[in-house]
Amino acid sequence: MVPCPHCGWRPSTEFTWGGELRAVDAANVESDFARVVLPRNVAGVQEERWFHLLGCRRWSTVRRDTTTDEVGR
Amino acid sequence: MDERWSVHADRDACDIAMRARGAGRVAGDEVFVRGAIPDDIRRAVLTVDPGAVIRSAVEGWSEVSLDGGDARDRFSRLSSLRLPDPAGYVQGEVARVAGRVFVDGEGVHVLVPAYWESYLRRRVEEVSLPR
Amino acid sequence: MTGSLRLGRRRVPVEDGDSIASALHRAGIRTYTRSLKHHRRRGLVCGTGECPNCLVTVDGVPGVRACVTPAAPGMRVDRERGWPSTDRDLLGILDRLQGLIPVGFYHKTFIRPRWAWRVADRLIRATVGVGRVDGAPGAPGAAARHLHRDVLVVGAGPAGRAAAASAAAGGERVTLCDAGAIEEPPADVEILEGHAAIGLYLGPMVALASAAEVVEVHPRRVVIATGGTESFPVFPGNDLPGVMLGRAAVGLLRRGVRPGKRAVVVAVQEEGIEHLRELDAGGVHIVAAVVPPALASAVPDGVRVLAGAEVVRAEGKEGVRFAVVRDADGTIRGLGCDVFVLSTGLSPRDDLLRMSGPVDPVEVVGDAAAAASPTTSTGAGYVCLCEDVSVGDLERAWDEGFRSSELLKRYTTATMGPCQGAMCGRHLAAFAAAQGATANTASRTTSRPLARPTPLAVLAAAGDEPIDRRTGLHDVHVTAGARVSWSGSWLRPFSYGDPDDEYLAVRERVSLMDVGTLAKFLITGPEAAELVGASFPVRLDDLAPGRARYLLALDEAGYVFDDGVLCSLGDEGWYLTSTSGGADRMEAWLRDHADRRGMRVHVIDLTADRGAILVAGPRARELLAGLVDQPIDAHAFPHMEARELTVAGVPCGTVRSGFVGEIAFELHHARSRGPELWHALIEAGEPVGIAPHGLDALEVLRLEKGHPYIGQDTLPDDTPAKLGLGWAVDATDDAFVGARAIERLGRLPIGRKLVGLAFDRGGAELRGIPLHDGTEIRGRVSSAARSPVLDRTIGLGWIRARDDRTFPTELRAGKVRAEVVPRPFYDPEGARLRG
Repeated sequence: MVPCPHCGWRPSTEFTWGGELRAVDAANVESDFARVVLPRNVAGVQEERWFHLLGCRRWSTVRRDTTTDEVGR
Repeated sequence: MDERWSVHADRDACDIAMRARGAGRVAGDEVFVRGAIPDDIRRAVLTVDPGAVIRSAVEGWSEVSLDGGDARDRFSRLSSLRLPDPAGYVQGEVARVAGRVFVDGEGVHVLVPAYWESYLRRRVEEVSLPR
Repeated sequence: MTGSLRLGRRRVPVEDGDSIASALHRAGIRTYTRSLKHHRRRGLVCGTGECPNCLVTVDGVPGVRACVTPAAPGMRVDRERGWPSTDRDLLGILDRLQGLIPVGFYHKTFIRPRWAWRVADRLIRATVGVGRVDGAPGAPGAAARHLHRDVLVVGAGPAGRAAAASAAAGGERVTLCDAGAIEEPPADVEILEGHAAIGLYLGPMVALASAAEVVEVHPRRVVIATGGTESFPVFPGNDLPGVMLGRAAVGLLRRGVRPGKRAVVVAVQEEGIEHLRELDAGGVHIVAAVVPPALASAVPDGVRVLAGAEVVRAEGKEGVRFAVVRDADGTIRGLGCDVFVLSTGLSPRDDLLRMSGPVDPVEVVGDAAAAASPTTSTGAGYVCLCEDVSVGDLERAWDEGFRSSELLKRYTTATMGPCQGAMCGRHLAAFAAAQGATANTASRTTSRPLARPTPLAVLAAAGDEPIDRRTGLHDVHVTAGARVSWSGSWLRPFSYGDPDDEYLAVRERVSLMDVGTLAKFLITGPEAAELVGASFPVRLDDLAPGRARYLLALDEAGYVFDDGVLCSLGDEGWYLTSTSGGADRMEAWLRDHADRRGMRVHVIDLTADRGAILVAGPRARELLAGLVDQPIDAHAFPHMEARELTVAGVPCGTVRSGFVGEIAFELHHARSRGPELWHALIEAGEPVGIAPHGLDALEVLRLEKGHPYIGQDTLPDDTPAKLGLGWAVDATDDAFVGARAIERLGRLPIGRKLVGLAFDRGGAELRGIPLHDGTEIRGRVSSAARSPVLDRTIGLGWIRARDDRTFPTELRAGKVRAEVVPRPFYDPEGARLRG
């Protein structure tokens, strides 16, 4: 279950997952490689992007603990 | 009936658009109105956000209604969405596609993008067969 | 009501209240099946529908649990397993050949020669099944329905009914369900009889299955009151027919059948003593009662008590004949009996509970919440009845290195049978713990849906048909006799009967195509220009209103994931069209940028709102001139421009594009006006030989122009340079998504590229064939077709660079010669489409 700010808690099957939240840009070509290709992949709470494909069709940022799969707001 | 409108505007203007009867909040910057938008509300929206886009949604969206006493029961065979009681708007997965659902005294009205109209009609027919 | 059922060729009398098992037991049947591997005789054990032993086929339906299914006269019951019959099974010899088929033997044998496994597989399948399913597809069941409630109580025993009543009294909307019948339901509680809970999911959501439907309940909280399963002790001979649990023995008695003439009863708890009393009062001669010393006084008078004794083993051939116990003082006694009743306590039926997580609002009450009685295992005997796994098998698996309950499960297949660990799950965990596994690796194996075997016909709820998208012209195509079929998630016309003529219509006359499936977006708002500028690798500040531009869509890694055409609408914003089927991804991608950069912009999806008809061919202008009221000559309406036209009275946003390589106008119109527009064009085009074309003709037309199909001719890590589309990236633009990646990739040599191919023979069947240079595979053909206008077979494919970084130019696809040639193949200057 994923919390969408417009539509409430919904089954994850209504969404597409956008990966962990990353910076919008990087300072140079080298750090951009890390930004795009090397996620931080934390074992713990991370911020990640979800797109509500079958609902409002908007993105939101969600906090999820990758070790327990618990989702917070 | 056959009027429906999509309002794309900033948050405050959308809040105003929500005063229209048959309005559903799609997102912070989008309101869907099943029915007409009264002139005064339309003017107020454009005053608060002159860049607001108000487009007819008649072409892009198709409606299939479930009416009668068993409308909610039939809907429960199409979707796991919790319908508002007694009336209201909810959006989410219906028959495995993205749907917008208005509930009022006349029944449960499901809207989907027009390219799914034929598919939705078939699914509604299936759950409406006598058992 | 009496009568009889048929068991094979025997008639078995049926009395009121009989289950199939009680009717068979009364008729003296003791063997219900043969065990999976060793083909040992197996009989009634649990009596509550949880173990696998009484599975029979009833009226052609396999997998019916005889102990909980009411018998009816006229039923046809067949026992499974055993050849030629369950009673006389020649495969029973496998019991003596256990050494040849140890645990996991199929992982190590039948490997060479290779055909050995195919043969063995067929033989093994024939001996292990629990019945045959006829392969005909059944009628789909009713669609699953969803219930939204405050409370769901699973299990209508005393604890469940109490929980339901108290929730209802508190004003909550309560549903109470049970796999069986529900007697005396509490007031104000909705009941679902015959509905077993098969899974607990996030939500929370509990899926229930009956014989006819699936119900998905979405409660705010769940109460699990599923009770307990009687424990099944492990000792040698514990699988002999006649060795059964207390509830099974008493269940038979209550249906008017004595479980046996002479019983040895082991009773460890209160419930066991009650079973003992009931059996004694029911006329079963109790040879001895084995009880703990504390319960010795509770044993009925006249029954021999062996206080503090322990079970050693059971002996017998076709059924149990001796129960061997060890007295408190160590004496071994063999007690003659024909039924050995074991009431050794309960373990909670907790598989549903174990599917839930720590934060789920799930509560458990009653026996399901009680602590489990200790497992009793003597160190030998059958642990898993379903899969024929003994303690010896577990020890052997442990020796081989499978040292946790999860690994033991997977290697021995214990708990994987019809009982799903109800009988044996705790024994498996206890075994691992006893061997010294840590708490982590000796825990119960993960509980997963489905908690109960459910027929596929019930799960495959109606409404599993494919989800088809249709344009507003769908019916027009069908009426015109087109072959309409799937293209991605759309139904589209592939041909109207003569694809060769359709092709010629485009190249020589004029043709129409329904391109309403294109993704279409209106991008508007104060920062619309910023969004399109940031999203695409071209400068757009110089794109004047009314001009259009071909674009690539790159992801952050610089890879091409879509392409399209962007038109500037001046103050109104931007109109983007992109590949049919890519609409969702494109919309998500645009919105992601706008959201993360906090842009004030509206992305409005018009894919459904607008239809689009392509008018293409050298005589396209001639056709349209008669239907529009504006000049559309080459000067007034050049290539890659957009205009608002009214065509046959229908307002159309029109773009001159070039996918098929002839003069073409894309007419974007209100969806509902598509048929009207189409018919007007067809009618007006008759004098010039108009014929619509479908995807078959399109394949050849676009291939002649060398246009790649994203996803068919491109690979997920294709950059613009690899596709030969470097010209579509503006070298001076550095402010778009993927710009830095493009910069970085630009410093690397290109290792693979998409090229045009010309073949010396063949046709579309070349697609997918690897390209080689005689010694090594160097690439693959991604598209191929015979080109009528060039009278040659052409195609696209990707090829890898050689070690010296050059690319081969002469290759073969199988035996066909393939030459790398420049693209486009047809009208390379583009004169025809720019006219």
